[in-house]
Amino acid sequence: MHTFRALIVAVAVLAGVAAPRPASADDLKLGISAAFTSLDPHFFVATANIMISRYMFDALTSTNERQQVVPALAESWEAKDDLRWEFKLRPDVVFSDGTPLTANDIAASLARAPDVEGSPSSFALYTRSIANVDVIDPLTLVIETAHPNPTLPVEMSYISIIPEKLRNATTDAFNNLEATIGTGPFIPVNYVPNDHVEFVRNPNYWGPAPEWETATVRLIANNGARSAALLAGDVDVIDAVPPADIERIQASDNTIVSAVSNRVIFVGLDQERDESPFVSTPDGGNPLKNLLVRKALTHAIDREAIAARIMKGAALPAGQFLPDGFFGVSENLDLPEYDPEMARALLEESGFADKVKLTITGPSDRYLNASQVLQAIAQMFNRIGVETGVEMLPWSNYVSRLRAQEISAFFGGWGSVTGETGVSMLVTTGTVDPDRGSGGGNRGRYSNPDLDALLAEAARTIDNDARNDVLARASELVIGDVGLMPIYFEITNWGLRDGLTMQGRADQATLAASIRSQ
Amino acid sequence: MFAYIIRRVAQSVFVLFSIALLVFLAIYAIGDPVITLAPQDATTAELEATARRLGMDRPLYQQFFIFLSNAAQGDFGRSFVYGEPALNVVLSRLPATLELALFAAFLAVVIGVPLGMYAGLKPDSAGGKSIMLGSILGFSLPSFWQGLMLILLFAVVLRWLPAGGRGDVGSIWGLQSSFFTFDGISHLLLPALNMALFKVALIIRVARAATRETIGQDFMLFARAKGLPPTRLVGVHLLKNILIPVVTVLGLELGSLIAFAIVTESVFAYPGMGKLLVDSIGQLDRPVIVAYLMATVLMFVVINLIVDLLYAALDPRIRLSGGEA
Repeated sequence: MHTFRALIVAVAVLAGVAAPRPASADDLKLGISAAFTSLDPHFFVATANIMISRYMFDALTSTNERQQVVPALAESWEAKDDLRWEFKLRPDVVFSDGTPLTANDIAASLARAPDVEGSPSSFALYTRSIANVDVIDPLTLVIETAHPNPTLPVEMSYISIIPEKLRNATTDAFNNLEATIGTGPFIPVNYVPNDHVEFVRNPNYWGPAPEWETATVRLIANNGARSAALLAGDVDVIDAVPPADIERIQASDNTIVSAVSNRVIFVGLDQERDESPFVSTPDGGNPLKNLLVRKALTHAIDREAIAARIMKGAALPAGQFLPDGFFGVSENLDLPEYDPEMARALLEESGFADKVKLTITGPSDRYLNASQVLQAIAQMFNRIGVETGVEMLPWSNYVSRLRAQEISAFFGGWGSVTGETGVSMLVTTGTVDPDRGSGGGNRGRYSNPDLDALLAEAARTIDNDARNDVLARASELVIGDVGLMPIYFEITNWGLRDGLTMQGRADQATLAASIRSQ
Repeated sequence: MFAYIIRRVAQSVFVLFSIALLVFLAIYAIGDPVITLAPQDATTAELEATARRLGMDRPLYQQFFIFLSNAAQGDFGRSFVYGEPALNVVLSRLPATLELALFAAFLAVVIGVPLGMYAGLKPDSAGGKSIMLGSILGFSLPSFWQGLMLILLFAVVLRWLPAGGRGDVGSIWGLQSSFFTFDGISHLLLPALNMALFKVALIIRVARAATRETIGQDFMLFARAKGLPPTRLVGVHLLKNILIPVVTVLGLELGSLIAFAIVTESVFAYPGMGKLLVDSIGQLDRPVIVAYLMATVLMFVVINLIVDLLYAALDPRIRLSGGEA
């Protein structure tokens, strides 16, 4: 018994010591939901890795909250002709070790980005259009592309710029902080993989100095634990607040900041094969090839109800690839009307009324509330007479099934990395052609030569207004064909300790440099 | 005894080999890491380049034999997602995990053994009965929920302890551990308690049963008849005799505390090995999964060996020999 009593005393003493948790005004602690895996900014094209890179490094360009391209290390740029882009660097930028930034550093970074040993998924994605990089003078360079590429400026925002001398640095050198020399607002001082990174302010930063002397980014993947960390005052900011916790967090003097993301969540339908494994009718065949059936399904979905009741406001109903105000969005496309009567009528007209059996497949561990959303959609389909079931799989398993085309209807998400609808349509609805990177996410195998032609036209149109129009027309075409069914855009919620403010970002990144105290 | 140890080691090498083979086959069956990790708009050429970089472009049996020959030299390959040697990734988590497991085991013993002995000595008293009732709670509360409740109470409402993460690491004689700082221990307390509660319940039951059995035995009666003071009777003779089942249970449970702290680690965002394993399975990070399982199997083997040796120390009647292993 003595031992037990001693233990209780020890707990009380420890608690007393731990109680005053000093929240210094100069330190910012952030709890982040997605795992970052390396400090090498060119190692892995994963959202969380790119976010962490932005603490330490800059790129030629950057993107603002609405994902529009803004100047960063390049002060200005222009298209000399269809293939050549001239970038003018900002003068007087120095790396955190004091060496000045020159165009040679840019060239070295562009060369290293697609060529990192052991990279599980490389930044070649954003450099593949580049044919040649010409250094004109220390502050000018010309990037020549193999084919016209209007999205080069936004793609350049993904390539972190490192000093030329680190061209051949290993990933290890970045992870042990030898090579983390950047022009960004912070310098890392401690990195524990899959746990946290500690940063101090970079005194040489060219932009407005961040308010925080130090910033600590902690990975807290579990939703409940992340909310608890904010409520307990362990951290000042968390991202991806689970919808169920929003009220609780607001009630305890914290602030919620929301932003519509660039990620559209959709249901895709197998519309290529004559026999598809998870859809059947008494007479055989694939009813999803019939446009009337697809229209019936899209009008059977009550997007507003899903956003409001299941996602509890963490979603904005979607009728196309990006929310209003983004590049390449059509003004003529409204939300597909929720009308079960009409849906049923369409189904009758197609001759498939009460004949279709369908299973929708989705990933269980990738998107917020995916399982509930799919259950709801299945019920809505059942209501119009399509007998629908749901199958949820872990992501790694799901991706393999998608790739093997062992699906008929599937649940997916796509975040537009360029902030334009062009890449979204190319990947999710372009005719499947892996050599071109077209249709990589088009598991329903929708294929329309008119769409491919429009996308090809957009891809060579450097003029922004003209490209916007082409992409808007392309969006109308796909949605009219029900090439896939957008359901909603994710809304990201951040929880901030009272007294802090930030702008929610469409790319879902949480950047300490843009968090301020009121 | 030496032959006994040799035999044990040979058995574990075989276990390690089979586990490696199983992991290779299992991950092959689940999916292709190259596809899982790639963005959807990657071109075929980019996917092929990735497969080459990760060594996934060869047939599975070749991958396995390359792995075997490297592993024989202590090289388990590089993690796909961390880009660091897989064994380093796993071992860098080991101190955090060991601290948590040892602290939890310590709490389980110092709480569980005295309570169990009390309940065994006075089974009909109110105290004894409520201890047994309490132990049912310890068994039945889901560790996930219990962890969140602990956080809610001690971190959110009372604000005594941090809600999660690992605390500052101190250093004494070159040894680095968060046991050496108040911040470190305050971070350990809640997750360790969360893991300990189930084990406390277990140890209470084991200690109680052993106590009940031991007090009726002849040597205890003799000791009492001889006039030994009750403190010595309970504190030495009884305690020594109930320790064998307690050590057995603890040995088994320590392994599971180390290897399967997954729920507690995720709820408390604690950077231990369990959390690493879950993340790695999700990303099909084969080198880390293999290295993790190798390290875990090795640990189980060593713990079991220590338990066997402890038996011999605790009870002179038990002798280890090559034959009976």
